[in-house]
Amino acid sequence: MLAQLLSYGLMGIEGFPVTVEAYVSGGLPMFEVVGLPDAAVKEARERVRAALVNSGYEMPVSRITVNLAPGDVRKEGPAFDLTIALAILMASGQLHCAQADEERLVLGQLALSGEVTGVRGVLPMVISARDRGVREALLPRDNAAEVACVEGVRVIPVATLAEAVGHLSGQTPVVPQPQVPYAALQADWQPHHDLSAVRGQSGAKRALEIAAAGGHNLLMIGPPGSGKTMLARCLPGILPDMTFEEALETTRIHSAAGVVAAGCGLLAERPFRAPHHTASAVALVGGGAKAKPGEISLAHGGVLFLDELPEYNRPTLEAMRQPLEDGFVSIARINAQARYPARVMMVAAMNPCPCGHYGSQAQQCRCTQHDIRRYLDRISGPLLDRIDLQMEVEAVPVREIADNAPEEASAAVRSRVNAARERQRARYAQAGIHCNAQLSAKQLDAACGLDEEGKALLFRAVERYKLSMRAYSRVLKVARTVADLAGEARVRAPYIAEAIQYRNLDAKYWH
Amino acid sequence: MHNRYDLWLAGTESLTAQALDQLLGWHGDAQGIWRAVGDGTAQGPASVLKALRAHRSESLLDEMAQAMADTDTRLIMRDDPAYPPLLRALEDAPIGLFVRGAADLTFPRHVAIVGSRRCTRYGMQNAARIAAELVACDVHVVSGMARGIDTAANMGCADAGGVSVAVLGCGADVAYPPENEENIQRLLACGGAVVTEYPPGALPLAHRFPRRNRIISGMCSALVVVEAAERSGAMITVRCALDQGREVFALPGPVDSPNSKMPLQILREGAAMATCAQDILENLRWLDAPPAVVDAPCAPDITPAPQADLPGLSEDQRRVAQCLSLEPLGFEELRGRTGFSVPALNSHLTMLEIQEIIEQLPGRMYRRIR
Repeated sequence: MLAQLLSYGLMGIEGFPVTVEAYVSGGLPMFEVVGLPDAAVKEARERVRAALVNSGYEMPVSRITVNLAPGDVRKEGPAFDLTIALAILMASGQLHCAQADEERLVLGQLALSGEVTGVRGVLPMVISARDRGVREALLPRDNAAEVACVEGVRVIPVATLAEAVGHLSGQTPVVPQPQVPYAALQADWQPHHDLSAVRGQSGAKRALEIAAAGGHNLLMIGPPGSGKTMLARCLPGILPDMTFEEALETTRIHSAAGVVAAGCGLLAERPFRAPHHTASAVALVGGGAKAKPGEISLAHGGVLFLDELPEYNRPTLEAMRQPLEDGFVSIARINAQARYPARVMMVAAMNPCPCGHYGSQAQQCRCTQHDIRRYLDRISGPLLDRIDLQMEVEAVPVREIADNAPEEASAAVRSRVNAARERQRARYAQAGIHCNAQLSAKQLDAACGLDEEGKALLFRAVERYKLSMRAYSRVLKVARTVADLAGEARVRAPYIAEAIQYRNLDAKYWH
Repeated sequence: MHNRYDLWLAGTESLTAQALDQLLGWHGDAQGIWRAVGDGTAQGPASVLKALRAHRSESLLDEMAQAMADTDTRLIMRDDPAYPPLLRALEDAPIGLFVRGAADLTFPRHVAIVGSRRCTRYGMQNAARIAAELVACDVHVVSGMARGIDTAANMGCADAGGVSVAVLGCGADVAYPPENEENIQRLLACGGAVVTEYPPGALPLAHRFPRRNRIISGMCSALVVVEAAERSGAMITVRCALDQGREVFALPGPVDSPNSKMPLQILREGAAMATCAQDILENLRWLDAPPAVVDAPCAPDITPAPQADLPGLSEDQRRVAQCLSLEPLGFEELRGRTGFSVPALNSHLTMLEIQEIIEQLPGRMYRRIR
């Protein structure tokens, strides 16, 4: 007998339909899977056989052929286990679907005991399936929360093969997963790291706020233990709230990469990715034979934190320049092509010199000028040009750490950031950009509306600090954000003066 | 003017002044030695003769002469009137000096400034300042052009328009460390000179640097040590200077800095203190002429009066300026003292920086400079 069920495969962050056909016929007993399966799919034979038997069904003693159509696209992973098992049950007459004609998607991995376990990429596959008219999706219970926000699909979470059979036959229908509106998810959300936990560092916190408000990349320079990492970790908590579309897009990438925790729904907090400095270029921007997303895409919509920036491989850092500029990565491999969004805020941290104490009052630096220059030269100029804010972080004296004065919480900062972003959105509605960091040199002048005093100050600053054209426009962009935070339409002199404090540190370090 | 055979002698590294004097005693002049080494009748220590024989080749001499012509290098032998007189008197004076640049090495006022390669900002600034002050008092500054204090002294002198002499531990045409290429050009452009006892193309080998230190102290009347940690190379120069009977000065540093260790130690042992060029000139009795008016970039005695009138500043900016002194202060500390919000303080600091009333140092420290 012949049976057929719908499953989905994953290509990049898009799903594509895979029809699973099972044919049980007479002949020598055997079990074959065809349709370009990879090793994990082929091994489904053993899992399906054990799961059927251990769930109390019969593995037909006849010739079983399973075909995964379309036959010319490679199929990967264990997500077809459940579909294959159900198709065999249907083909061997052990299961009769109550509503056979409904467009229904089945995904899930089987354990030998018959349990259904989670798979990666559920969210992008369900979204693609919904767009093609699928109305019901049988999914592992572990993955149900991930798609709880998707509208238009009835999600049937199943934990065992028997549950899935019970539901399909109509004898013991499973209660569909209730819809969770995204607003509810967001309301519950608390930042993992709150700014109020960082003592002192008012200057650094201000820089963080400006960076968040304008979407600027940020470089923190400071001695070890000055709290650079801690400050960076607080950044997702003060970034503007994620919109539903952003959350969907980011979760989709995470789901495709298989980094969504079981039982975890759409991401309500912006991602924070901190790859170690030994990471390869492929790990950062994505790639490999299967064109998988890299850290920069996993951080999409959030923060990519590069600690110990000079320790990164130089080619690795250079590979990130294009995605940082364009906001996406296109990966082309022989067997796979993918385009992943990669709009991130890059936050980097570094010591001022190899020993870490240059300029510190607490400890003597042991490096020669030459050592320091060589250390700093590891970061290329073009990469630095993409970092609008560069700030120094001082070591906090112990008495301030012990001090119990209340510090401002992330929520308060976030509300200011939200307001500043709102102003930018309104201003740039026509320009096709989102925030000040994306301003082009041409748009910059129109957006700033400098007055005479501001122009005079900028002119003097260019002379005094020998600002390059690039440094000049970085200062202006940051000044624009400072003005947005202050709620001003025009960029006046005091805002420029503040922005200059976050300028390129050329004068002190890059000499 | 040197002759061809002088070049042969000066290019033989292991030939010392005493050995050469002996050879000259037996064979008359350089040409006599050349002939004697050639026909095997030369007398003297076997190792010296071996080295001389190894270098005795017309083609080698041609090569050297060509390299010297290419880089405009001249050779000054010990008996040449252009040879530094103080150096000539030494027992182990170099038998010849390869010199690039126009500086007059017989000038009577040479002062050496040396110090650590691992130096601090304080050391570099003060080395450059003293060098500039010495220039204003018509003194030539000698140093080793090593990284750190040496470069600061050499370039501080050149930048002030003075004649600076860099004594190298490698060939005069070899830029070591590599960043010196540009520095040397600047130094030569200001009328300075590069001096070495090693022939063109000689590599910067480790054993050559301690030896060149005797030339630094030897050609000068006084030596100033700016910063040196324990067991710093600068101590070799100090020892040479003491052996040669030169006046030794030290610039005191902060007592808690490892780089102050040697300066403070030699001060304790009787070296003279050098806080400015005046100290050195007075001690050497070079003050016959009225001291030149020194307009150094930062004279040591600027202690901005707290109530100093700063025209053109707003009330708030003046408050920030008054909290700052020559002693650097961190941003957070400054915020605590002034009570301004971060945005306000940032913007005041920029305004003060632009007017060059304060400067920012690494580590987000600020200090008053005016």
